[in-house]
Amino acid sequence: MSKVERWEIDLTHYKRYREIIPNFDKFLECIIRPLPYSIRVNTLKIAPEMLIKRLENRGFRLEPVKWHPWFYVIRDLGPLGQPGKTLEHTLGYYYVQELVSAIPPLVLEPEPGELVLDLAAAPGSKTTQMAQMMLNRGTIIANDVDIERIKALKSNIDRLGITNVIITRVDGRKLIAKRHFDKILLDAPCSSEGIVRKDPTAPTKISLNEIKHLSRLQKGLIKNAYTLLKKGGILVYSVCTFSPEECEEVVDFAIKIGFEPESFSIPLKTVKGLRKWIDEKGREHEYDPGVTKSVRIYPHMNDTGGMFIAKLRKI
Amino acid sequence: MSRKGDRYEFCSNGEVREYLRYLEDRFGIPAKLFKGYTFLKKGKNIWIFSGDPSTIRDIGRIETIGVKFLTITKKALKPTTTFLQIFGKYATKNIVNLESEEEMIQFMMGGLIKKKFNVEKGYVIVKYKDDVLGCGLYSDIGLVSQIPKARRVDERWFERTEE
Repeated sequence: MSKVERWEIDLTHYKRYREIIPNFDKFLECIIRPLPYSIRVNTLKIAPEMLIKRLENRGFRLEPVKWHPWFYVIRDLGPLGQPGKTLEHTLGYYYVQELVSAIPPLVLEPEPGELVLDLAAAPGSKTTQMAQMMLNRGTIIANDVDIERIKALKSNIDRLGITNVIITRVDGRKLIAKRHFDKILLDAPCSSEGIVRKDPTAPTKISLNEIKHLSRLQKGLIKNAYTLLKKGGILVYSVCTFSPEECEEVVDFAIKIGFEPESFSIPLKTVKGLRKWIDEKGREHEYDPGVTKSVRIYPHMNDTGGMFIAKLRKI
Repeated sequence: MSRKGDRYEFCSNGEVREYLRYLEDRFGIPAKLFKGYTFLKKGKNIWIFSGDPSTIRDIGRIETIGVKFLTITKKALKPTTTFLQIFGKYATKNIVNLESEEEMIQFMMGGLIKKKFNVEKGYVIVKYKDDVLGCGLYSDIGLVSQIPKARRVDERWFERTEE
């Protein structure tokens, strides 16, 4: 199987981040290079060393991820050529998951027994990771609005043997509950600028109108998350994109409605959330100093995808 | 809007006892494993949920809850492959152990294995080495795979993989 070294992608859109992203040329060079697949071992069903032995027998070459025992990077897919075409995958022994996508649940730290809401859950990489962290105990409400994406979520839950999830299907801005959640994950719909390494067909010509529309949607979701969260509860907000409108601007809004940002550390190289930036029209944007407690994860600093994460407490 | 069979209802204590007795009698799966689990029905299907049952009434319309556990057919209770892949490892009887990779692939492709096995007729647990593969239906014609379409394998996945 021939390996693509770099993709032909129109990167014009990304130029708006020249002044924001450190080592911008390295960044551009990096995001046209395909990302290696990575997997999460489903420890609810199998021990990592058992699975790795079996996948190596099928021709995979796997490298353990230093910062978490459940994750491995597939350095070589062997004759199979695809990460999901194995008996082990069918039996739910692992989930193909990008490494940065593993981080928001690790920041949220859901524990067995807690009541957790995953407000934009499908297709379920983070839902199933959280259920695994909770040992299938406690309750996760996994919500999504899209019926097709919910089918994927349901099928992943079945395959991985997740028994503590309730799936709901409503617009996350309108979800209501008669009790408050201990923790909420809002991995919001976004312009996905950070996933081109994984998916070269991801749109790279994103209009500013679209970004503004998404920013409004994200604020609507965070507003409802505030209502749904218990006092003192934690919300983790994440998006796989770089536009400040969908990152710091949303966190700035969250602070205004009563969230308190918290510092946290993650096992990857990060850059602090932006306090100020100037858009393409020359307009300066300035946010609450608290946004600098959020983190930006850049592909060229970690050889991963891109992500923005904020940890917010309801006070 | 919703009619009976269209939404989830809690199973009665009697129903739960019946399902657990079935698991114990047919497969030797001990009932005590299910302490703390909640059983719900929707139409002909029974669902099993390990979360807090009191949350159910506190949220709006539920799409699905936990995983599908049993289907009530005319003749028997049929355990789902999803359920058996979680709890089948605790079974002690009515287990078919497939003997070769060819048989495993055939079964996981949804096929029929024309062979006699030392199990009772009806729904059985099918294993290959240490893996619980899922549910099979055993009768005079042989073992018919009950693996749902979305959970099947393709025989091409296994080419050149075993040394």
